[in-house]
Amino acid sequence: MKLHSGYRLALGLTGLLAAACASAAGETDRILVTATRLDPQQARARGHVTIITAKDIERSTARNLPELLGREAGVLTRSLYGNNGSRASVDIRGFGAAATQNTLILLDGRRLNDVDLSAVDYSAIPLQSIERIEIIRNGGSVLYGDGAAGGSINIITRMPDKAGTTAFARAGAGNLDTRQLDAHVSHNSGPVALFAGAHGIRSDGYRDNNDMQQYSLNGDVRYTRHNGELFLKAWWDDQDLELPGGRFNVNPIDGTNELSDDRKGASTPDDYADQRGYSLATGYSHYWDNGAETVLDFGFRSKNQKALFEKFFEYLDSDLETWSLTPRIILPHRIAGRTAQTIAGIDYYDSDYDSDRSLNKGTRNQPIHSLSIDQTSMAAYVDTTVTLADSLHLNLGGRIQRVEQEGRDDFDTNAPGSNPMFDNKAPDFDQDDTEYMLEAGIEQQLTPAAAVYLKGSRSARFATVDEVFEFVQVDPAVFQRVFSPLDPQIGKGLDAGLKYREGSLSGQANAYYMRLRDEIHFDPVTFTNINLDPTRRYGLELSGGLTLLSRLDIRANYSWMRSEFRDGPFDGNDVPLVPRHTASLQATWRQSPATDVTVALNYVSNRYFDNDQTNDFGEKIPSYRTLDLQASHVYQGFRLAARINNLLADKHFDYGVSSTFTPGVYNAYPLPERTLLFTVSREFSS
Amino acid sequence: MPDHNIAVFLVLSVAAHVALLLAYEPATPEIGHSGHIVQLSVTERAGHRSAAAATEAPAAGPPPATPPEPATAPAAERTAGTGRAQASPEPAQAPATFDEPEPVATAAAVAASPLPSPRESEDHLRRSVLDLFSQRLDYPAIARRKGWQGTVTLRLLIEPDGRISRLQVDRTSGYAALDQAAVESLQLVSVPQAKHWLHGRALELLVPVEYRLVGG
Repeated sequence: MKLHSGYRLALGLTGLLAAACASAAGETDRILVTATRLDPQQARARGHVTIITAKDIERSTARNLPELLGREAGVLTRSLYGNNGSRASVDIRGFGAAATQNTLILLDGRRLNDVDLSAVDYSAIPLQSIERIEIIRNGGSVLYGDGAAGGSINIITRMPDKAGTTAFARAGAGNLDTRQLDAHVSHNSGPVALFAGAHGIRSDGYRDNNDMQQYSLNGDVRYTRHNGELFLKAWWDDQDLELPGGRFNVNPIDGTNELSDDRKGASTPDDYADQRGYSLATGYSHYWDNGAETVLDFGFRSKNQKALFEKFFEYLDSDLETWSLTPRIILPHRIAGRTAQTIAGIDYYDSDYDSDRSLNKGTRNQPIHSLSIDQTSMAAYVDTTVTLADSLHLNLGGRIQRVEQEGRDDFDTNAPGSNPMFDNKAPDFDQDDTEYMLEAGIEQQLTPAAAVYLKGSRSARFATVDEVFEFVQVDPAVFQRVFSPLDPQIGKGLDAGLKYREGSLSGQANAYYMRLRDEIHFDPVTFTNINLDPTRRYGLELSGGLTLLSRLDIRANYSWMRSEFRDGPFDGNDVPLVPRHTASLQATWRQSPATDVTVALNYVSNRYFDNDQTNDFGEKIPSYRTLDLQASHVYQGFRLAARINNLLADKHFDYGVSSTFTPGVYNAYPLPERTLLFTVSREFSS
Repeated sequence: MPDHNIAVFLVLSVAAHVALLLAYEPATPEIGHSGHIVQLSVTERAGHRSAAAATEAPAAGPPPATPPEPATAPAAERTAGTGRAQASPEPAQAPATFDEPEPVATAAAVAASPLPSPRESEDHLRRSVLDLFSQRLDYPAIARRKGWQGTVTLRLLIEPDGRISRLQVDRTSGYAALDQAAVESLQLVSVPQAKHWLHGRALELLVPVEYRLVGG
């Protein structure tokens, strides 16, 4: 929200307008009170930013957030099961397996990436609750903190401002026994605004043992008085998900090709992961007459995860609680006569992670390891945007962040499954790191339609609590349980681009180059998390939109993306899981205000399997194309929509791991063939 | 290495902030308020037909000194957040409640007034109210930041002594903040000139106030 609010700052001159307004009887004229609107120039000089609006979402054939985001230039998405956004990751600029730790996801400006390795739970955020999404590539580190090496994505939820009551309900059904229900209601009367939403979805999934049930509730209450706003937001979600595991191309035991002969089958018929949690955020914003905004807010988030990984003899029961305090000020001012805006603030996050790891569910009360990790993060930041001349904008920002982690392991030698011969209590752990982040951008408007920009950044990422606790191989035969002291990962990125917008035609071209050192990554050979040898990423992102005949909207995106090692034994090799080419093309024909049809084509080129840092495995995850179709029609106030995803039933997968022991063997996670979804929705207002 | 980086960062940061501080100037006036097109619509209170009839009757006297169409007086230039430097004297007594019966002019009273004509009175009063209100209305900071715009129509009653005894929202702008700002900006206003022009009558006015964001 910080950046979002920043965009909305109004700057400029007092307007003196006279308008001879059309008058109803008895109201011939009016007093006109004017102020300069929000200054979009405040969004300048921040590099390659994409805004996805609620309208874009409605027309998109994407079924969930990761799919929607993955169609944008420079953004990849990977799904393990293709089951409504569960266990999916979003990856800005090709970080592969560590995508979640390098793309910062924010919900209304609040971090969703947790201090553990868990994926952001996109399935808890229904697309209908989103007002807009801001994708900031190579940005977000200064305003939001660590973990934004690739960039940040701010999801801004709907909060209708206008007086009155509105409601929305949508019901959907599809194949794979998918059922979903969404509803929200908002009421705005006098100084009080209320929003409440509910979302439920269940599906058998494409694979065996892949049932998913997801329920979430969210509420938002605001009280506005004298330029001040008190707010309370609450969120609750509950997800049950079955985990079918991968499919072998050559099963090591019986030699069968599970991927081609039984791609829907489950390798782990009993595994599952359940997650439930809630969050609260409350605070006060004050809007001052000089245009400044001060925000004092406070947040709490609690999450419990229970998961069974039978083949790994592990049952996991983890609790994560995070407190946060993030006061900030957004201040318009002048520097040497130039219009400027500064955002400054302090971020304090305190997380407690308690994780019990036992042999199986039956022995959950006798965990082998009980981990307790506390993480405290304290940061201060300043970000200033200055209009140097009418058409020249400069952005400079810096953050300093200190992260302390304390870890303790209780090892129970008597617990079922415990084996002191091969396992041990990890020694207590205490580490703190301080890093700084920087962002600098400059943008020159060339003509009213075209602008060029340059942006540089320094990002940092601290190891997650899951990454530091691990088995380390101390010699070929001996593994030892430790908390690993991983160094912070440092990234330096540079973007240069051109953007164009005139009438219904828009386009953007962006080139980037990024160098990382100490990239934190799981090493499949030693089964530990390590600081990788230095890597580099570079590429080109192209996007464009065009409206023809006032009825045909065309949007196209293309990315050429390279992620490669630049030192060490893998020097010159590609980072696994990152395709070199991705493209999407979407066309919407608006037959009438009530009827439209959308066709979308998506392409992802081949890429190396996870584990294949040597790039010599021989096979790659194959490229694929998918075709989606959607038609919607409004009939007597009801919007009826039919959607077919992967119309040609392409058998593809996003994620696969190559075996480190058996040449030519890999494990893949097949994605659904053709899926259908019919929805009916209605909006009500009074 | 990190320590070295931190030291460099701190030095740069301190230098940048000293520079910022030296160069810092507070924001210049940015909130607009201007108003001008005030032509307040005038209605008479229900139940006082005689005054209404007098208003609607063709003016017997000379035409109004100024045309009733858009007022042209420039709004007072004011700086954002400088308060209400030109506020009118506030009424000594609290405004009457909405339901309280108000003294209003009768047809006889109007007919007995030699000068000025009711039409002329209204025109003058409109301009007075325009000048007064346009000095007091500001764009609320929260609405400006959030991009809220709209027209709120206020219904107000001016007493013969110039007090505004009733001020309420007749039609909402859709945003509580804009409605509130309009009502609160004008709540304690009185129209001293009214005594001169009303001659014992009370007038009910409908005042549309449009909040509009421009440019940017």
